[in-house]
Amino acid sequence: MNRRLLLVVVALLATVAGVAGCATIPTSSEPEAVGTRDPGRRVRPPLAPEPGSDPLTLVRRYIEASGNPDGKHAAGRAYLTQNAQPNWRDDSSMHIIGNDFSTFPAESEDSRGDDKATVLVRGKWKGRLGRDNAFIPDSNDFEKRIRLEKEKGEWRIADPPDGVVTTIDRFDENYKPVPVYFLDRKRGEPVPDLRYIPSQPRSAQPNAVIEMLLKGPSPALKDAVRSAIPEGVRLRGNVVDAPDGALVVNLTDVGEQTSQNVRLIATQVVLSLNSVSSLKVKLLSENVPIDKNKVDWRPSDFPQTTGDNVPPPNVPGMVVLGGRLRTLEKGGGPVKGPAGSLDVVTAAQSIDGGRLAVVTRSGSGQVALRVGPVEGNLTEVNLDPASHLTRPTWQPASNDRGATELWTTVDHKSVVSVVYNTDREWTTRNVDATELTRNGSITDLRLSRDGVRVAAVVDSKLFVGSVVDNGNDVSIRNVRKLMDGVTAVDWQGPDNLIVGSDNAGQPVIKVSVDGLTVKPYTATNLSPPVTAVTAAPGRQVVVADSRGLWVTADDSEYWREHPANMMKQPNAVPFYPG
Amino acid sequence: MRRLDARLTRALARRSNQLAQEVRHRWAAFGALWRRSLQLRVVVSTLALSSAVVFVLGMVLQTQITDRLLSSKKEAAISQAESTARNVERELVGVNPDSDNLATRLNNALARLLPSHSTGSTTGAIAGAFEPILVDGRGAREGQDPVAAGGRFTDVPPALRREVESEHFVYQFTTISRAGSEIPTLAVGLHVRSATRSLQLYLLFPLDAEQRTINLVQSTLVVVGLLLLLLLAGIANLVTRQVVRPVRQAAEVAERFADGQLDERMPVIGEDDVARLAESFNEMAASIQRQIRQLEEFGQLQRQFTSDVSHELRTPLTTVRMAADVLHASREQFPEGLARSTELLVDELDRFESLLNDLLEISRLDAGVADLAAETLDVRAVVHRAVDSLRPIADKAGEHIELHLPADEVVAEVDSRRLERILRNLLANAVDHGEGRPIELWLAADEHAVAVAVRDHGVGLRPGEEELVFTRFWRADPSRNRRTGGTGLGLSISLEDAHLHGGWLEAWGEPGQGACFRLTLPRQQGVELTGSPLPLPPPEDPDQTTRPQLVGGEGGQG
Repeated sequence: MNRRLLLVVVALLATVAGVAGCATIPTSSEPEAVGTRDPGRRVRPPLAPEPGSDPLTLVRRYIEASGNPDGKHAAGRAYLTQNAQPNWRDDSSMHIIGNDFSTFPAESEDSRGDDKATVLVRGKWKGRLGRDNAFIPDSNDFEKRIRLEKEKGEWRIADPPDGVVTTIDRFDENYKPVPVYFLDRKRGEPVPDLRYIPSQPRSAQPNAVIEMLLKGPSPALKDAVRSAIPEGVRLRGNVVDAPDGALVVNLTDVGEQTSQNVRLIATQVVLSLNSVSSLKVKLLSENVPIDKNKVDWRPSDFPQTTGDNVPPPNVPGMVVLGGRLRTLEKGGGPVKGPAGSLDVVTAAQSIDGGRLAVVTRSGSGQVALRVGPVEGNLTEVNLDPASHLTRPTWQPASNDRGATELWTTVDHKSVVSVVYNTDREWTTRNVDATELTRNGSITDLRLSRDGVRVAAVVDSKLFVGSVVDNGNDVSIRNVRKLMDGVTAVDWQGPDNLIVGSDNAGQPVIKVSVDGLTVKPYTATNLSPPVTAVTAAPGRQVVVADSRGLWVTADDSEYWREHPANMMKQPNAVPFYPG
Repeated sequence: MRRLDARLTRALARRSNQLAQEVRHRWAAFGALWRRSLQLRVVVSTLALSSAVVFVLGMVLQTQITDRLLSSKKEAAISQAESTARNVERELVGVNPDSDNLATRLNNALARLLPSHSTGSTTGAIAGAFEPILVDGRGAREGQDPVAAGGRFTDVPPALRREVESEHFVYQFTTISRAGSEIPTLAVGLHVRSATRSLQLYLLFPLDAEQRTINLVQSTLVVVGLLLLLLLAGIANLVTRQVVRPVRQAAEVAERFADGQLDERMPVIGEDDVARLAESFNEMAASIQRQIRQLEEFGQLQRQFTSDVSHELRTPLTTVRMAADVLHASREQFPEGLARSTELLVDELDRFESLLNDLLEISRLDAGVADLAAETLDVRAVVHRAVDSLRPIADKAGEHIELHLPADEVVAEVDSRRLERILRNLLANAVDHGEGRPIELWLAADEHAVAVAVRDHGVGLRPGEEELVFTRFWRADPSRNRRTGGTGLGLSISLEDAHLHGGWLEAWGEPGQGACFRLTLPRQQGVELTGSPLPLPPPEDPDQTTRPQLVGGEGGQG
């Protein structure tokens, strides 16, 4: 009896011990599958390097492949040795060189042997893309030694240079220019700041644009522009497509803002996003609309506020021909009013077409600057005696008093700003242009029609810079050299220039303000050198060569004779307002 | 040092020995109790079996609850993970994992996610709080930590990470440490799409609430189980008592009945099994009582008869005796044949008279009317008297009686007449069976008792005869003559006399070795005897063994 009882108890306890094992919350387990889910976005693995490539070809293909940023430059990374792959600092910067680079076998101490080689890459710099995605031009020679090793019978790059080296074509292929809009300091007009972002994936572009916008202007426009978005504002959430088909931009707290400032913020955001998305923009700050009355913004809410920046269509422009100031019209009659009878060296009309500045010859080889209404009396500006003045360039009108400021260069070396003060007098002040003048003598100086940038020809080299005006002192800063062999320059739009060149093959070139895009116009019909160029938004490009004035609408079109070109004289100076 | 060790070891060994002994002792006590108490057995068995059952039930219940809790948590977590992944994917559509500030983007994606969670979709409410971690696991360079947002990426088990990075939707139980405590956690991992490649989303659901619930359930089950056990034990105890108490009462009644209280009866209550047992017992008791009464009456009748016969015989015997004495006194005047008959008549009348005396004595003893005339005296004198009275017969039989008496007087409170009779009977018996060999008599005393042993070296006793010798009219060999003219009642009377003193009379014997009778009497009347100063049988060499036992020094020769 007792033994049976014992057996029963033991059996029960044994069962219980088995059951008790699973009676607690497990502290660890093996992973268990839940079920299937849509497959993730498949990333196509990069093409492996072609087998059997010699070192020179391999380096060339590596540079070509490096242009693709997908998967942290996976395409280029495939050309590296296993050891080098994780060590490639591909995120430091991007070096862009000309397409026609060369590769040479180079001798070096450690390249002896069948499984080691060194290749010398030689080419022309185009520039580099910084971490802020802005292009910094450079035109020096590029030279780099690249060491290769044999890995599993294939040549692979053993010490990739820091950063990515690729060609301009590959760069164009894989990157897309995006203007990010800031505001000029005086008038609050939007100013584009060109950036380059990967063209794929498109869905990631709005995020990138907004982040660049929040980080502020690129070095080229540093201090020259401002942002309506307060410093320190970040994205509250990622830029996403809302279910109602709007792009949601959710910023962190922007603080108390006037409705005008809110509108400026919206302008910057919407214009900047315009090039990467066609959706309307839902602009939020801390999850609530930034403007209580308006949630969705479209580009059409911001009519082109270019009235002050673009010459009015009814102002045709002018040309200085044989010391006389004429209209740039068919026939090219003299300008009405007193200006038409002056002995003019060069001249400039304000952007709104209301005022005129002319450089006249006075006695003993001196020149004088006269300013006034187009058809009214011109008053001479009290300048130091000068033998040469560059063609004046007008700042855009900043108030209802019309254009009140123009710049010129005195004797190729000092830049002067002439301002129409409230006492209705034209006074001068010096512009700090040392960044320009230390490169040589200035032969041409043009302010962009938004008044933010300046382009100058200094010793036949084209420089661009930005205008930094802190109220008291004006200076030209952030100067960069864009190209050599330049004779004349004018702004076609806010971010590109038309350049007259002494290169007979490419006498006229369109160049972006960051120097990356260089598009030569056809040389047909021109007889270089080109001595003067003028351009304006929405207008044909007019150039002057030894046979007079020529005009074209497009870089691919041949040059036609300008209707105003009756005299066929050299040294004409055509100019649109600006 | 070594010595200390040794001492310690010894002390330890001693202690453990003590302990083991103690345990053995307790165990034995418990074993005895276990064997004796039906109630204990039933209660302990009930307790053991029901605790096993309660344990199993509790375990099953707890397992069920845990399983249900976990599986519902798992389902909720998985659906939460799916909806979270949908939300995160919407946020990640515009995020390129290759861009610089991926961490910010991921954080932004999660930041957008959390408010919608806290304001409460139902699944969120079910699944409870969780910690999301969004990781670009495959974008990491070898040996570096991947870009992660949300909770601590190190909390994600590597096995889970491997599975999720190969785009599986998996869950795993793990443990994470927060603020110094280990928290069991359910980790769910799945891949989410970004602008280019997939990222990994992990949701860590701490299970501390579930653990608390289960702990509560556990403690409740333990408390309830213990209460249940106590109740069951109490119930078993009560129920058993209902059965056991009548049985115990019956046992007590039976014990008292066996002790001679023949009027004891069991109470009969109701008509159940116990009542039937009581009825049967009572019938049995009544029957036994009746028979015992009859037997007692019968014995009484016999004793009365013997006593009456002895008395009735005594009067004629006295007359016959007087007549015989007259005849005997004038036998010289008779012819020789007649004179010889007269002598025979007187001799047989002596024997008849002593037989009658013995019978009367026996019947007095049986009737319990015998008085003990106890007085304090020296036992040695009594011994000497007895030996002197027997010596003629012994001499006639050629037997020598050796006395081993203590030198000092042996004082005891005894009835000298009865003691002398006992000794006479013992010595006569020894002379009868001594076969001519010496007879030894020892006397010894200690603090409480005085003992006399009589030893012969005759035929001895066969095994089993030690008790029979005290039977009335018993003789070992019926063909033998009684040399001393014993009546066959002597030893019986001696035994009765010894009992009257509160003493013992014991016999020992072996065939061919002779026999020994030992009488032990208390030195004070009313004192219970616990032992005897003399061994039975006495040793062969008296000098060696009797000496230490004798009061007052060496034994003397009589």
